[in-house]
Amino acid sequence: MEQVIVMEDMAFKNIAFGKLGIWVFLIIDGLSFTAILIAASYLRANGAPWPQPGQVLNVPLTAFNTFALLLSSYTMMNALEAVKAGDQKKFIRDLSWTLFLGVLFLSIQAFEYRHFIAEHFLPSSSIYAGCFFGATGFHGLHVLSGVIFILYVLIGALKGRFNVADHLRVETLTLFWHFVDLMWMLVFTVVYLL
Amino acid sequence: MQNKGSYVYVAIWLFMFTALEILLYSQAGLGVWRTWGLLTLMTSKALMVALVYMNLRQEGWALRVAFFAPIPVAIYFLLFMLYDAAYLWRS
Repeated sequence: MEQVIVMEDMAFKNIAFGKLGIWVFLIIDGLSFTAILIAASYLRANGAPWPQPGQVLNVPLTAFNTFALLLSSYTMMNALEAVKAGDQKKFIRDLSWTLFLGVLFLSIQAFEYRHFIAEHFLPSSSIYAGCFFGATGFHGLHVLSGVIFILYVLIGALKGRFNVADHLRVETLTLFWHFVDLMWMLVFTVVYLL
Repeated sequence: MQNKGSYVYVAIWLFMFTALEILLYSQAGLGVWRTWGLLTLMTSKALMVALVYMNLRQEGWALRVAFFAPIPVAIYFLLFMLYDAAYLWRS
């Protein structure tokens, strides 16, 4: 059983150290995403050749991918609620669904990249291509990390490592996964739709 | 802990807002309203995830401040850097 150290401070409302750690990481990581999106907006506003929305990118396919990621956030939330309620079967089932949806997202992104590479649309092709691969690649790495993290927690869940009293790692995973979903909302709008 | 039903409602709202975004994306004739509409929907979705799914609504004030404080700073930088003065002067 992992030891949970709690901050006994009113400002942080008795938050566990592990949870505070992931929050600090997420805030810093969020700033990295912001820097990438601000850089892309800056280049676009200052005359870099920029195609019309949907001219290069496959918006319907990515919209489907967006719905898959949104659904995965919901299944992750259900998994957390299940472990808090002590329902191991539902916890494992919802976590497995989240894993499946995460892998689906990555597969569609890999398919999209493969198509672009075949069309000679590479990160070195233009400023626009660089911004596209920079933003979506950085996010894709986060999804990949999340999938590995889910797999790790799922193996632990199958061994019965998490329960009503001990589920801090599931909470940190949930926070990370929602953050990945949140960042995709920004990337999808700024890179694909605007 | 939040009401479990609120997660379902948020999921439905997120799906609806995304569908609305895709609808708005295809309305090129709306011009600047399209951009503002998409940015508003994006911000609303992000806030819903942060406040409800990430439980930020239930956390202490310090964490909320730490999470939201960089946003105005990011907007400031975006507005400050969006137009490169040197580039505009040259052209």
